[in-house]
Amino acid sequence: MKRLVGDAMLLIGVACVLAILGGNAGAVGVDYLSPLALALDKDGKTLYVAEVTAKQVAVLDLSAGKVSKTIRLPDHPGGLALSPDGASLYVTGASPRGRVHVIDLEEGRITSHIPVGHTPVAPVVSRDGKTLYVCNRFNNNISVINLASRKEVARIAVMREPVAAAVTLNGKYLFVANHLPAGPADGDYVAAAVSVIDTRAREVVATIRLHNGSIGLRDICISPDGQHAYVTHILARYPLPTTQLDRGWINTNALSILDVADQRLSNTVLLDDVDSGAANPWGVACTADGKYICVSHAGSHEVSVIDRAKLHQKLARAAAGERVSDATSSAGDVPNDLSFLVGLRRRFKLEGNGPRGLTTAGTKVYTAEYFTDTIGVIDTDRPRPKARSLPLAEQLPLTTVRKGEMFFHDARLCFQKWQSCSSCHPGGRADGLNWDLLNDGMGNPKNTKSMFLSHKTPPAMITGVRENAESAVRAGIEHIQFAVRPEQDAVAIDKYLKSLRPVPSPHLLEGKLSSAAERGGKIFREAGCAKCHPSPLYTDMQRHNVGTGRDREKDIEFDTPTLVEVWRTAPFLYDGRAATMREALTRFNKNDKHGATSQLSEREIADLVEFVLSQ
Amino acid sequence: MKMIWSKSAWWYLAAYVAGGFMLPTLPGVSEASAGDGESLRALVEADWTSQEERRGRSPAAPEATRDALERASQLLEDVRRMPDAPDLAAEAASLERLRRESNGLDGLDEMARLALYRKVCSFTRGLAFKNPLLGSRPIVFLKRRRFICQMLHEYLGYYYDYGDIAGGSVYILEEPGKSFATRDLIAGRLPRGNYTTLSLAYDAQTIYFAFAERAAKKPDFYSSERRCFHIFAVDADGENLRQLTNGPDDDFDPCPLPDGGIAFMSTRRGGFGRCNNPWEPLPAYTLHRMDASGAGVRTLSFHETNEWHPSVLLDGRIVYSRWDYVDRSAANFHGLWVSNPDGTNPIALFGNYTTRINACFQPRAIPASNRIVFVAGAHHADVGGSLVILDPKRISLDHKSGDNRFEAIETLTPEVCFPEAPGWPKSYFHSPWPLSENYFLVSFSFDPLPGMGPNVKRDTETGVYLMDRFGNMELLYREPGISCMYPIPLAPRPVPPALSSALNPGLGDEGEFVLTDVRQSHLPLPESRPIRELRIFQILPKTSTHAANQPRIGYANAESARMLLGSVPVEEDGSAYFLAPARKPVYFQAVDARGHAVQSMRSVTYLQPGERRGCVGCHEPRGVAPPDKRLVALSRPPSRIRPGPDGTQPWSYPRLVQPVLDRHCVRCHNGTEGQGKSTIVLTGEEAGHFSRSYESLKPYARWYEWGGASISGTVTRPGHIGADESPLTKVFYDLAHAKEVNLAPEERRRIYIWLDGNAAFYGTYGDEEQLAQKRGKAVPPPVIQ
Repeated sequence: MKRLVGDAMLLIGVACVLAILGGNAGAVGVDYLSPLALALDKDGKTLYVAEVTAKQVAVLDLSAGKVSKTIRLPDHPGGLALSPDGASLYVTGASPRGRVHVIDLEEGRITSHIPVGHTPVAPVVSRDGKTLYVCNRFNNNISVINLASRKEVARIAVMREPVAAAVTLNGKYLFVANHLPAGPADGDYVAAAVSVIDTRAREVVATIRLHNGSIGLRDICISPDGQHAYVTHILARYPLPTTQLDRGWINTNALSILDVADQRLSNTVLLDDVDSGAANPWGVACTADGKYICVSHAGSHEVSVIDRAKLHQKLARAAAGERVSDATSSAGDVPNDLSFLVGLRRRFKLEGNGPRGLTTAGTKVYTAEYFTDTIGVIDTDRPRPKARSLPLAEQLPLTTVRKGEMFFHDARLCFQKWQSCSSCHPGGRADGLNWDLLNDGMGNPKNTKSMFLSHKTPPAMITGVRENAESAVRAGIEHIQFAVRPEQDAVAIDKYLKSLRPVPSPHLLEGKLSSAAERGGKIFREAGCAKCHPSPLYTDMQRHNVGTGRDREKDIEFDTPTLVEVWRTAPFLYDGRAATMREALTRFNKNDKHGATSQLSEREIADLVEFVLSQ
Repeated sequence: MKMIWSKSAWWYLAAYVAGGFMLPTLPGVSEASAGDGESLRALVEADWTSQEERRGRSPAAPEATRDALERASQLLEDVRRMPDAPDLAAEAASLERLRRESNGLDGLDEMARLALYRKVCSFTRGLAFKNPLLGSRPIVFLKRRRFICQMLHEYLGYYYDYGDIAGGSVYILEEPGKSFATRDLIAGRLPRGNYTTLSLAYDAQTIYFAFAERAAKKPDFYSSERRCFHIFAVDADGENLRQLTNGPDDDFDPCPLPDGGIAFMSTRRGGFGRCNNPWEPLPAYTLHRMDASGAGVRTLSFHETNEWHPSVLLDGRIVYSRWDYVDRSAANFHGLWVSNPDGTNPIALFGNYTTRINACFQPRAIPASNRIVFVAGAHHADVGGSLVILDPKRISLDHKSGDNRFEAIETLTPEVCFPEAPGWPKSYFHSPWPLSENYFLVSFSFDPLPGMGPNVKRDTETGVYLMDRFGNMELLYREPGISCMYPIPLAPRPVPPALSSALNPGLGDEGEFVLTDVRQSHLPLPESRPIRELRIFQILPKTSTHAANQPRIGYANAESARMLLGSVPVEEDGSAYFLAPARKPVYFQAVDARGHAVQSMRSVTYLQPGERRGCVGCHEPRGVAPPDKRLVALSRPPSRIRPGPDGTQPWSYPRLVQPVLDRHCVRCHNGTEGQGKSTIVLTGEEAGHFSRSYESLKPYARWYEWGGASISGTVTRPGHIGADESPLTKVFYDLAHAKEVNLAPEERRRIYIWLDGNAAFYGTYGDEEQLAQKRGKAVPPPVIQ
């Protein structure tokens, strides 16, 4: 606690080194910056920073250590990429009707906008500079843009919430990191995947399934020799009851290694140490010489620098059956080995808070420190490297909402820093997994609930066992993070969660219900759905037995969830058995206890589903 | 070391008769008080001289100056690198000049070399006290006199009434490095007595220590006149001296906790050690906690013998030392353990599986680091030894022997050997307080570690020093005739996180265990013997008697009485989920379909009421995270422990085994000769301390113990537990018996349980209870558990 207050004090108190903002942007009146993504020019002299809250790109002169210019954007950026010739910067505007803004760097302004999909993030330029790929996060697809014509020429469906992508060295394939798993959550295998797209055929040719429990994928990069892809993600031990945190009992943090040529998962290494989690791995990049893999840890405010050659040697020896550590003598042991990286990896504490996007230049590592509006810099070549933070602007005092958002993403609240709230609730929503919390006994896992609107719709939790979201937040700190925190931390988190705004559904057409959805709205009332799910919150905040309870949960009344943003919180029902809304209303509603759906025609079901998913 | 009791008997006699306490004068230290600058200088110079003599040379030797320059240079380079280092340009220039001067070292005469040496050391001393880590804050410390024997007695007030060794107090060293001026914080407000263990609140406003008053004359252990150590608190300015604990128990090792409470060691747990002389009871003492006011005392550790030296790690857990000798050597395993501040999840950290360091004492987290400094000490001596740094990330066990590997260990003071492993050091360290990985406040003695093992019968004197890893040691304070220990900077320090306590009150006086996969084991379990159940044993602490083998429990040397609480099923996938009683020291065995234990524990664990504990495996390697799979055992409610056969609660050979012998064996095994008879008598009449059959079966049984007959020493190996190893189990299948003897499965299991339960005879310690057991009567479990 004292350290977090210290952060706040530091931010308020620091009056030194103000960034010189050139151009037309003034520091006065500007909100937080929230640097998210970085792009480095070829010479390694200029760093382009996408600043989410401030809706701008900052141009950072690295030798001077100062911002030389800012370029305003019409919306919040989701990512950025430089053209190979260094003349253009492609910045995605992460709105429901998303666009790619093309910036002419010499002119220093946007010269065109290319419409793409819903919440575009992670633009990736092809190796020949002719094509731009954009991850449309909430359309679950990739836009392919011809940069000469500045037009979208194709859409390629991937698994779910693509958030990062990388092109292979030969340009033939695009590896796409899907943030969340798809499918039901009540089986023995639940994990997100990497979609492999053939860039010429413009279709997915492989889906690389990751280790059971892999969720929250954040970034992907290809090694300089083109042989491997590295993906950061959380490795959740979701089948176990949440009795403790020690030794990765709840969440561990991982780097998956993919074989590019074979398009398969090679192995998964844990980024944590036995007694110290490395929470929320985010950005990943190799140094240009291939020597190191660098990973930012948004929850524990660190950067890992991994010796790449030694890592692969150790993995190869393990695969050959050699005992390479106390815990590993085969390839299959590696994802459970908390000591695998000992001797291979250095962990560097950052001065800033919440490092996300990461890039390397020579021996230097840069990372966007989201909550302190700074860029973390480490020179890995020095004998005793020490990170420092370059301010991007004058530090502003933290509002309670901002503090709450920071705490929500901060694993320092957690025992041994294994996880932050955002580990299971990325962006305040849900990870798609079932977890066996202890508040209703053991051995009966429940699907993670989104925290969006939970403060407005008490009681909280699927069973409604918590009186309200406030007590759920405090229970999370106590029983999931095993921490004792001052009440004001929870107050701030409450405020942050209450400040969340709904993301408009991708099922809407130009912000309005489609005609199918309109029809579905009528059916929604006729089938009785509106009785327990009345608008505008789409929950009556009561518990009901809708015939879904199984085994120990038979005849249990579950709290009616809101349907706002339900389009993004699959799978459905208390144990996540329904991968789709359709399944929830048909296959798992045989007795019509959950709305009168058994007599509806195929088309009526489709319309009803469309309506529900449009909320 | 089996005859310890008689050795220590001599010791107590010697101490008792010796009367007054005398300390040999430290060579080179003048008797003059250190009130003025000149005598401080003289004392410091004399200390440097002693340090050189310890290195085997004179301070006038050229290497002494050259080494001193090298150390000074490393110190300067390191301090300069610190983020808040002062400007040291002048110091760098001085060092350069000294270096140039020393170029002509070999040409100087002895006096000139000595003068140069002292110049270099003065330079270093000045620099050392500019270290921003130390600041110029005062230092609080204890002066104390110790009872000399073993680390066990050192914290029990009872022993301090042997001889006249009262003395000591809590002191503030006002200007460390600049003067020897001290302030007695107690200033006579406590009566004649002794002091031990010192700690400081995180905000540096309160000082805690343990004090035991001296009795007018030596009381009997069981008399109400016996004096104990109790925990006291005093404000940093000396005001508000108050006693926090009282009663007939010893309380010491106060350790302020992040949640505002205080952890400490106490004999309140009940029970005694198992290997002392007959007339000197040595109570068990374990981890407890109380509120800041002294109220709300609660036992945290239900370990059955002794624990020491709790301190809080940077992640909020408590690290401490535990003496671990269930069915193992009593003199080798005192390792570092960690537990949560509510007493949940005690787990061995380092030292439980090695004899290379005899005892791991006084562990303390190093600030801004993941590592832990501790004192490598000994069983048969007072606390003290060599300084060692542990890197928890590198802790691992040898995959063949199961021993602790030493990659995780850095010896900070290699010139001091690890006591009793196997030698004894000529000088020693005590109570290190780390400022960083490079700088420590320490207590240090030029004299040998005292204790019965090294045969140093009188206390030796320690002073407090500022030490760095480059080899510099700067005297802070020393006083002839008494030891100065536990130096702590009187400055606030960051509070580690408070951990929430996730106990489920709905479980009452029970807790739950979840095991993910019993086959996850450091030493692999034989695949041909899948595990079908876990047995849960309870170890009973010794009650009134406390000498080794008084009374004998069974074949094994100095063993504990125990109970088999029963067994719980293990599912096909290796998982288990069961309820178990809280507050009892328990251990588990993994049992195969036949009823043979495949693996067994020789360290106890325990649950807090309402604790829900997950275990990955059956002593899986420390770096193993739990598997990502659903557990079959969690698809049903937790198992209840199914009690074992009669004669296991508590252990009773006459009730457990003899009925089987009576039914199947004595018709031949009645001591007569002839066809179909045997002179190996298996009838159950009393014979000596045990019974006839018990004596007869001894050659056919194998067990674990502190001694040569033990199946193995440090580590228990799967597939080598009692039923596996004992020739008796093969007897049923041999030519003589296979056709004739037809034991029912339940009867066979009784034999296996008996052998796996260490082939013990009794399950109680009291004379009456043992007599009843010998006669085949059922007795209830003991009161102290």
